[in-house]
Amino acid sequence: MTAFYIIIVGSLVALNGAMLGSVLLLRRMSMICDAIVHAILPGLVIAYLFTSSRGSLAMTFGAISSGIVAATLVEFSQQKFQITREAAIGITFTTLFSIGIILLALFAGQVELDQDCVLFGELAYVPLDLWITDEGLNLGPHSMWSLAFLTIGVITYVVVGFRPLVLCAFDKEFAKLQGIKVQLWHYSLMLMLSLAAVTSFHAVGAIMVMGFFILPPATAFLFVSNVRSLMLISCSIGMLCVISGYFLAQYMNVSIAGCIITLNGVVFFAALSNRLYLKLNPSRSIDRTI
Amino acid sequence: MTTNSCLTARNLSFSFDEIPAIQDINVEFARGKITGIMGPNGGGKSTLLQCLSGIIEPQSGDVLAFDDPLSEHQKKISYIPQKEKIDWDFPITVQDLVKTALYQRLKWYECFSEELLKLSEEAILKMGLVGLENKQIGQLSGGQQQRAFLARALVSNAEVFLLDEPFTGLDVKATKDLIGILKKIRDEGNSVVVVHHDFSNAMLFLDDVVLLKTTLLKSGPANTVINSSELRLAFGLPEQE
Amino acid sequence: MNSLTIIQMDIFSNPVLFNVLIGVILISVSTAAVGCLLYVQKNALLGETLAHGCLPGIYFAFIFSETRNLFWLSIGAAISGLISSYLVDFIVAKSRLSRDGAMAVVLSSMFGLGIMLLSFIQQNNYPNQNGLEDLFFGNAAAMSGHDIRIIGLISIAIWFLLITNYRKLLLTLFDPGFAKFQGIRPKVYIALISTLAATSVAIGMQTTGAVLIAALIITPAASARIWCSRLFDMIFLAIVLAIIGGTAGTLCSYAAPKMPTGPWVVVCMAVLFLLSSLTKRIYLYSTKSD
Repeated sequence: MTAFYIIIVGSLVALNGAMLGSVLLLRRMSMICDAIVHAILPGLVIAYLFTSSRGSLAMTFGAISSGIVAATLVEFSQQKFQITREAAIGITFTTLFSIGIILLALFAGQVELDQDCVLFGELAYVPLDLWITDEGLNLGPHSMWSLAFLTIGVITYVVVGFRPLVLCAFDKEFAKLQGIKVQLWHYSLMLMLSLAAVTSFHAVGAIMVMGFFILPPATAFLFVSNVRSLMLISCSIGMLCVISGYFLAQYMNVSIAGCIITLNGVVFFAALSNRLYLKLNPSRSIDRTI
Repeated sequence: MTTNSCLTARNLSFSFDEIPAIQDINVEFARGKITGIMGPNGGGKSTLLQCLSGIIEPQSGDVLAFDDPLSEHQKKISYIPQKEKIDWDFPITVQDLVKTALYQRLKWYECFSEELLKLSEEAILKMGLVGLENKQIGQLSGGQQQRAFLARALVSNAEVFLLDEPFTGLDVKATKDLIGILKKIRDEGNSVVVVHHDFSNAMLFLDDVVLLKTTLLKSGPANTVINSSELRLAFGLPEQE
Repeated sequence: MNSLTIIQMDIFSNPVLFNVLIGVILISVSTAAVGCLLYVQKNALLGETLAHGCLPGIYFAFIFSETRNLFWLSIGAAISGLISSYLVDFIVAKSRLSRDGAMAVVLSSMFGLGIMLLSFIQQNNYPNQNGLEDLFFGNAAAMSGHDIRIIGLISIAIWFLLITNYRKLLLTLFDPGFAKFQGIRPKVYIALISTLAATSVAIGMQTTGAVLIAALIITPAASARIWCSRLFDMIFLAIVLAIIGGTAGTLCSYAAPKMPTGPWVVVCMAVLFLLSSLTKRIYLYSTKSD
């Protein structure tokens, strides 16, 4: 049963990661994922300080606000301060993360957020946090339910939004002319990303989340050129790595999430080498037919 | 050296990922003249220029400079890339840009001597950039940018100037000024090779033209090539009656 | 006596503070200088990738050397960092992935591997493993005199290489084709930059930790670029700002109890960045109205 819970939770994280991650990859925003994942920390801390509860709702709201603030600051500093996009991302997330740590240290006595947990999480603990109703009915781990809801949200968002999102990445001006609200889609994506990050962090840790967003889509991208296949293949790769990673981690007695991500990385490099060995020449253009 | 050609391409071929950009090019570029490399987009003009300069190695064939292997006279060849290929945000001023040509004369602990500084000042003066020495290159106008790179080439004592589409984005006055400068460079005994795309002003300054569309279509004096049937063929224009 | 005088006295009488201050300054100067090179190379976020990329190397070095000797850990970190840098270039060259995606792939895979190794170390009860986790957030206070000597030696080596190769690096970064004409092999100097970056990140991990070291690379460089049109001036100003930010950050964290050094240094550098941007805008505004 433990294994089942862990695998389900892991798979849900992978599913969400693969879908949002595919969009990020096509928009060349993979590093922004890293930034957002770090930037949600101050939001979490402030939410806790205001509400004095570790309740998911408060934390979620805190994380989302923090994520949006980060995204806004990146855009703002890029335009107003005339620095490169990379520099804007780097300065924003490190500063926000530092503020988060300072707040944590300032209120160290009051905050029970375990530094380790916030950032690293551990899939192994997932089955320990079960939702047992007053009647004693065991509904499974909390994370499973929150992730399940997240998945519904993410699937809806991605199905509705991937056409405008990918178009915006391609050609902002054209998208605008078509009536697509470029800014709205950008910030809603940042919002979904923050939401997914905070929902997943309990299980796999905030930083590990990034691996789920980046690696399966990147692996799929080596082979496919159309958006639909990209998402389907990345979901499959993500879930396969969760399952195999879990069993491998049990065998080696190491961190489950760490093992999953490493496995995913190995798969990526294996796929890349495979392509090179077979001398499949990757064409530089990608067919973004939707 | 008493050769008539500054650069010679012999059986030159270069491909990107098995797609040929230029094939079997055999052409001589006359010394002391301004030669234009012209032709349709994607015809390999930039690639040819880069092979001539020595920046890229051709997959077959070779390049001669003054009838000797290119490597012997590498220092006399200067190459100015296309505008798009230059990083205009780089923190480098006009003065610094020109001085980079002198770096190889200095050890890491040596500073610029009086005479080296003078050399750079002279080049800046010659290109009409006095007063702009401390401006970052991205803040210059299009014409000034080309002249800054030419100043760098002058300081290296180049005898062959290779320019890739230098007139892109220049207005009428800047174009006229640049044409004047290229002619001045030629009149001092140097050779100029430009990748050019504008037929309306080609006759104003080009002595010779090399017409290129992956293979060499025609080469010779400007008026011969520009009025030839090969030109119309290259651009897919119908035959003139 | 006011608090300022107390701090000034403590700098020299308190060996821990003195050590930390020297260490932070040494590291900040190295990372700021190298950061300028990465910045103009439009490769600012490489610091982030290197930081995560160093982790597996550090853990491997720990497992093999069974000590926490900074010397061996730094070597492990630097090698691991170099491998990461090479992997990024490899992915970009051999696949359709953008640089952004490649950096994210290497970052997350290496981080996953790092977490896996850390859990392996923790499960297997290696001696001296306390404090390995410090590498995530840094633990400047744990820097011993021995550590400072190592950091000092490595920093001097970095500065020496930078100074002796400055002109060649400038040429390679600005116009590699022209550099070739001058008899310089661009590949060698690009590799030098990657090595210097990996090394400065490796020694810096102790102060700010993996998560924040990117700030030390990016922020001073970005702040300096706002004012400087010459690379030499930019490096000089970045170093000055880094020293100021590093000192201010260390003193702030010293002034309040239990404050981590890394985040304060980052915040101080961010403040300097803001000041730099704002004063420039004021300067531009005032010269315009003349």
